[in-house]
Amino acid sequence: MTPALVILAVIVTVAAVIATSAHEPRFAALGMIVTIIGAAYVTEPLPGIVALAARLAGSSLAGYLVWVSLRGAPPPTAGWQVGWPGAAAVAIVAFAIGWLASGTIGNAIVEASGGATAVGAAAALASGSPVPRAAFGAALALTALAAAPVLLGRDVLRQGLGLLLLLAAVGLLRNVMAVGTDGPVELALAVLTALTGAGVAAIVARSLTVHGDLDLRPAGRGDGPLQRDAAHPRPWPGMYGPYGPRRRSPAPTPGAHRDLRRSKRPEPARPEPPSKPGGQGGYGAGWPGTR
Amino acid sequence: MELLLLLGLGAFGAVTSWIGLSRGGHAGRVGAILGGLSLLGMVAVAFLLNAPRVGSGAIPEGVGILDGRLIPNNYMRIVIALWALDGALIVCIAWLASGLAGLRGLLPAMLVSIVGGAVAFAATNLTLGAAAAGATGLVSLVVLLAWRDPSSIPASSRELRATVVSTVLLIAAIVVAPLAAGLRIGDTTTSGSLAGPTPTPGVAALVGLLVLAIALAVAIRMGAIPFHLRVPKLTDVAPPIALPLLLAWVPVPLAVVGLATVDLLLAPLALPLGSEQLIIVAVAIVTLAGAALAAFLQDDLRHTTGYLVIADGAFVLLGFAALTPDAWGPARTWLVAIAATKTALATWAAVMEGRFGTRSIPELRGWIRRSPLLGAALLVTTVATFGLPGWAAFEARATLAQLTATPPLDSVLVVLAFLTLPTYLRLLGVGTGSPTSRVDRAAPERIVRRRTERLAVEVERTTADGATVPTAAADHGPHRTPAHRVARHSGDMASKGAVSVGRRFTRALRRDATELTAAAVLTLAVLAAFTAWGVLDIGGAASEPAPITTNAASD
Repeated sequence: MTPALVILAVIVTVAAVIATSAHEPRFAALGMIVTIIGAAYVTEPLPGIVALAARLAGSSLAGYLVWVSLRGAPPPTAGWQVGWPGAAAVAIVAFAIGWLASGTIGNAIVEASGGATAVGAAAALASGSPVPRAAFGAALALTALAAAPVLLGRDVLRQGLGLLLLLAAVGLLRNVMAVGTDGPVELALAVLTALTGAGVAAIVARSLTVHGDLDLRPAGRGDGPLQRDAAHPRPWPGMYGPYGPRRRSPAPTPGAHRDLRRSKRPEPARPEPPSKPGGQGGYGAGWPGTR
Repeated sequence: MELLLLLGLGAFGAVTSWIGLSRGGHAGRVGAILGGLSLLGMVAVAFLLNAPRVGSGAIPEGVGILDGRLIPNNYMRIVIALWALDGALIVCIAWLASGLAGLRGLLPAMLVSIVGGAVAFAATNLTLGAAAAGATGLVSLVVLLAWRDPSSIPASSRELRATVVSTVLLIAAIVVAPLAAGLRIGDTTTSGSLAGPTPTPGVAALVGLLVLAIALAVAIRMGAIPFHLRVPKLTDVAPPIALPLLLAWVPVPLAVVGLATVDLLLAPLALPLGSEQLIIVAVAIVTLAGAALAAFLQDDLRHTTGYLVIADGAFVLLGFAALTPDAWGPARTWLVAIAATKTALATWAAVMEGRFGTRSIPELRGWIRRSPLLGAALLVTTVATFGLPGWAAFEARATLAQLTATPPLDSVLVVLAFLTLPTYLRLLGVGTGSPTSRVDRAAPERIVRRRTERLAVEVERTTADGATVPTAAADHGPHRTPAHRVARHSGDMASKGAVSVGRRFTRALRRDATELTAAAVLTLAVLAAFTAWGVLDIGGAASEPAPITTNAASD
């Protein structure tokens, strides 16, 4: 059983690499699904049937919702700019750090606690059991892989997948520390995972509906509500007075708004009124031409 | 079983209102009615909840649910009752202002958040509480994605990120904390005290990191500087009437669970963590000063509200910096107080924006002359925010400052808490100026002095013999112009033409929406003042041990 669980931890890490680096949205989602479902079982000993069922249900539901939201073949995304080799390198390094450090951490915890009272994870880590080591390595790898999409993501799908990977990582950490597998607690975590998946799916679906792609568009200059509303006419109220530069209308652009009205007819020449009385064109002799 | 009824009511109301309001029409009305009734039912159940004192060993059998994983307690009862009461008033205001469309997203989110908060407060396990608190934070997506607005997508992503990251940080800290302290899992709280050996200095460093991680989680959730940028963006996008829920109430469960983690696992170790305390206090001071300054300089009412919430939320961080179980009570008291006061403030801002059609503070000049009830509401909210000596909120703030810092820094912290006062005074001062055109043409509240002069028109009447005699003076009263007459009759005719009693009733209610919304805001402000005062012994309930810190099922 132990080698299978270690292999499962490796598979979880590989799937996380796919989830963060694949350009095809559904391929990335598939990697995420494998990660969150598999991560729940990298533990020794395996929890009870209720906990297992809860973990499976929560992870499956979250993955299914994200999968369904991507129906209709959305366009490929940019993925992680480092590509899959970079993501794999990050994952390998983080996994190795976790694997190698777990024994040291376990010993430190045992020593810190007096040596005799360490239980659960501390004892398992200190004894050199490969499953908690692999789980710790996978947890670190998932955290490292999820950091970039979560912090710098410009893509709603990548950001959501990163958040689900973080949840899987903290689940792995719970497995490492062998925190109790209480049924209601597992159920609560499963509900949290499923709701997070639902949230990611809702955002992805809305983005596809509204924009037709998965790009995360921050409100730009002149486009966001900060610039649109009238509450921010100037950066510093009172500095420029009531007619500050931000309040002036933009310069007219004749090319964009050509005057398409018909040209006016020339106005008829208007006779000059007489300025002096009598005589030709004089005042009192009538208007010119009426004589 | 009352707790089960409370959770069931909330879940039922949330599902029915979400489905109904999404469909609209008749289904929307039915969903809104069921959701509203569920909300009122939750208020009643919360007040009638059998909530024994936790930690006294007097928990009767059968009180908890889920095999004792959720145990109602006095603090939970008060907070949930206040939350549901505030929620009912907010929903009422939203309906009066925008009809059923205003409830879309808001009503189900309100109900779900109350359910999540109840689970978090009643949990006997830290991980269970953290998961419930995290799920509560996800309700912002229900509000933001209720409408097909492109700008809601980045806002939803930010909210989801803040919620999940803060939850993951908290759960990770909960998982690592017992082992870092070298404690035996499951034996940590059987006697109410930690029974592990003395940790080494190496563990002290790890515990310090865990304290910082928990404080970071709460800071992200509450929007403390430098994580504040999402708050003004959220206020731009979210419906203003939903901001009380998103800004004031949703962060409360996570903060309570974070406090419980520190109180249960880390604070009793009494480790020398001066550097970590200094970092948290520095963040709190920067947040207090920066957010207060930003609130004062902002011309946008929504942004001002957001920064005022951030500034007051900074004091919650002091509960983590104190690193003593004594901070448990004051921090939880302060959390309830800021939730109540900021609910009143954000609702006031939403009603102001709807009433006057602008969120620009300069354009709201003279608003008090048009809305004296709203003016009274803001005044009461201001008093509730800062409190008076002897009030629960005031004492909680002072206690947190004293527990966190030594003199004279504690006095500095208390003074910093009053940095937001100029913003409130500015809002009140703007209201006393000469009204702008926007304010002048807004619908007035009827509590205005009527003109008492009568226009007496004497009409001469020709008698049969040809003589003209004056008739009795025709007194047209205040309705002397056609516009006045139309206004007078519109009130009588507002409910005419409605096909059912319910519709006639709702139309009659919405006819007086201006006054009713202002009265609801004033009620929220009074509730906030009562909360800050400490009615129902909020301070005592907050100081009691919670199930999450006393039960053996805790991690």
